Amino acid sequence: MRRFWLLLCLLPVACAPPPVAKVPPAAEASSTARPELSGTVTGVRILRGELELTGDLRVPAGSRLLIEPGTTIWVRPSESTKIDPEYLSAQTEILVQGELEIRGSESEPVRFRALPSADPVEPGDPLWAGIELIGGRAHLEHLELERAETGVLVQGGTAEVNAARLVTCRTGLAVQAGGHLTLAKSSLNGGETGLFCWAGSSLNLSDSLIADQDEEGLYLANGCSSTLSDTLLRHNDRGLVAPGEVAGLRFEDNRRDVLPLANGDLP
Amino acid sequence: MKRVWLLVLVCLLLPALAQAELRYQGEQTLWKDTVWSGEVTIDGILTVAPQVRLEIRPGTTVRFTYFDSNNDGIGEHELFVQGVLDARGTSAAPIRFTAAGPQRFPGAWGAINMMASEAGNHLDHCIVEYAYRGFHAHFGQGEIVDCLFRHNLRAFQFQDSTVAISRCRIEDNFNGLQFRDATVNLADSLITGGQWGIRGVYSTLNLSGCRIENNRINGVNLRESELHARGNRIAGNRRGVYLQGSRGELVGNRIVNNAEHGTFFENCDCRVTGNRIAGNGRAGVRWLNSTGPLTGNDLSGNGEFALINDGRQPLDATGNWWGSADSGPIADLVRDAAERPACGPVTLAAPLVVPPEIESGPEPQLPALAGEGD
Repeated sequence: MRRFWLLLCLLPVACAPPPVAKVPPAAEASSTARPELSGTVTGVRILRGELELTGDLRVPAGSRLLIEPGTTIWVRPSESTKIDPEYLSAQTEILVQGELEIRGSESEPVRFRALPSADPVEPGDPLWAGIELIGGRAHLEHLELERAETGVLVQGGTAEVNAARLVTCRTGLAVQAGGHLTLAKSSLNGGETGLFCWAGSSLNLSDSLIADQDEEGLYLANGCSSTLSDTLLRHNDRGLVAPGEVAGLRFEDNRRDVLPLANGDLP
Repeated sequence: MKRVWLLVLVCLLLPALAQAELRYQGEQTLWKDTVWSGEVTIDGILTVAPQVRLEIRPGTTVRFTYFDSNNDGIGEHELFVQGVLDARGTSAAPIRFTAAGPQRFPGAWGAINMMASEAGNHLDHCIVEYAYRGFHAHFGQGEIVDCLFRHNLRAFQFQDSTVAISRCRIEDNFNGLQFRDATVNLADSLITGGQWGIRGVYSTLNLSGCRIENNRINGVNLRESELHARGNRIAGNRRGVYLQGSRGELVGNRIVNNAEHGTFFENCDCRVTGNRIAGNGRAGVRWLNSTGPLTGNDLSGNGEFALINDGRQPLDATGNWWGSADSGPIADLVRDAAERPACGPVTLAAPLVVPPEIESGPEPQLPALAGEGD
């Protein structure tokens, strides 16, 4: 009889659920109604508290969006396949052609949390497009952002990003088309690629961590101008993909630390 | 004598009268067939009623004033066609659809908007610039040839429509073409300088002899669609060709120097033969849960891999050129079950020993239109 009770007590342990999934689940919606956010910013707009991004948000040239410390923006995934002409993605996006300033602090970061999708999605799939800087300017401090297609896209604009934490984005950051990105004291965890820098763009990367990417941790294309220091590439499939040697990086537990980039332009 | 002088005066004034600007203000409708020439200003929304034909003659300029009722920075004045639009310019005297006044920026006016407009819509040797949507059709049909679409937010958008575009330049728009539930024949044209070159869902795209170049997100992206792509050059985009849940064929194309994958097939059934898919930044081909012959291609010189099989099924990649005929180097260029056991294996039998001949078709004869530099 004693053995029976012993076995009964052990049963919950034996049938314990598997370890918690690597991908953080989308945030559960609170029952409290939040102010809604979408559309076009005109002039200067300041965000604070908790808000829900219910649709695309555009900051045109000449306008400015400021996000104060401790702000949490809950992103509602789009259920449409439509892309309006002034936007880039069928997914919910923040498109900045003017200025974006995120004023998080260490004790009060600014958070972008993804709400669950009404459509079935694969674990880890992006739930929204991310922040897209198209020729604008951005200064982002103490930002936490998750489940975006590209956490921050810098296309032809200038972005300074400090103490950001980007989690489970398909691409953490991408800089292209003449963009300039300064990234410091930040971490990019768990996606497909940590950071892309393409031809004609520049990257200044320091004191950061890029980890747990299914593909490339850091991809530096031919023609990307980069200055790197004190950055750790850990547990990625390929830590660094670049055309030549790159200083300022440390490697740990990548399947392959460095994959030389093979190609040059072909006719 | 007095009558003679009167006659001379009338003859002198007649051209000026004929050239006087035609202006439409507010919401107006053309209820009968109309011909435009010279200068036309649309200061509102002008509708062409069903069964009515609007003919626009060579050299006509149609200007749309800026009006923004909801302060989103996007102009709303437009030409709304429920009848037929027949706009035939010439290279020496193109027809221009543009923004009026000093406010010239992408989205300064609404659209050439076709709604339930059946056969006979024709744009020939036209310049369409600074619109929100250059040519926008719902349940419509159109033929657009030898035209220049530039500086629009979106050059073309169709839904439930059949459109044929040939020998057009689609340059420096925020986005090129977007369509759904449409049949699009796109030939001998240039699409460049946008975010998206071509994006379509639930559609059929026949794409031939085109150059789709230097678009900052995708060159061609289709979902749940059918693609027939022959003899195109798709180069310098971020992704070259991205197909999701689609079917069709890519034959004889040059898909080169795109920053990410040259091609990405996701849940597709596609014939991919005789292409040059080279010099792309990540993989030449990324294959995910797709079927179809992948053979006779040049897959050399891509940045990371020639081919990635991320699907569970095996993939037969017999008879491609990898940049080498040696099995060792070829294996390094392919990622499959050998590296990721959850993925299917790739068969690399009978690699080509020299690059295949990829016939490059003639360069598309793109229009040069008088006054386009203005």
